[in-house]
Amino acid sequence: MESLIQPASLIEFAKGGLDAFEVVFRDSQHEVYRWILRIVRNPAIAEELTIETFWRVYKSHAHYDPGRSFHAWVRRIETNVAISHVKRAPANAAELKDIAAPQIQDSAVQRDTREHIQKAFSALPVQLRVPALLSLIEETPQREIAEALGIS
Amino acid sequence: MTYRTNDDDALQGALKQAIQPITGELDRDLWPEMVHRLEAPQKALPWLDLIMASATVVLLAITPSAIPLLTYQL
Repeated sequence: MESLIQPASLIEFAKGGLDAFEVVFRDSQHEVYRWILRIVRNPAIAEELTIETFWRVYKSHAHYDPGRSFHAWVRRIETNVAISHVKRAPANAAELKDIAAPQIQDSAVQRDTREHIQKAFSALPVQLRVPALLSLIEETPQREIAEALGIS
Repeated sequence: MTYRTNDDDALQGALKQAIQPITGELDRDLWPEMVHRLEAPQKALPWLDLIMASATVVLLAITPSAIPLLTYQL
């Protein structure tokens, strides 16, 4: 991930500086939003959870070590926020459809099969559904998924 | 190294037909909302609840015989 955050800003952020927080926020908000959107698949909720993520980031500034990767640290927080939301929200097959994608014209049988797959996927436990979604659908590298989820 | 079979590819193909990858970019700056959130008043601690809970614990420590009575009431 290409970042324009200067090390001095990260040091200031770790001390609780609001100006430095604004720098890291503006630098990272798009990336955080994209990652959360991949998990929750709802743009409005992804925006809300992006704010929630940065709220937690700001509140946890004292725990951040400027010597370590800021983005890796934020990635863990944003992933936890998104997964917590998915756990709270009832599994919804409708959210598995990309609202930006064109509607696929197909036969009733194909549509039925697709709906069965969506329903089955929604029924998976969150700890399986999220990695499967990121890996099989979004084609996120497995190493990135493992780091975000804190698994090996 | 991960080995993939034709079944894996077929499964992934079926999944990707059923579930579209999501694409989307943030089309606005969220900083104003972040500032609003930072400036929002903090939720006050429920002091009364804490005092009542502490008093109950102290009372039960002094009179353990009240525990079955309290459990029955709950």
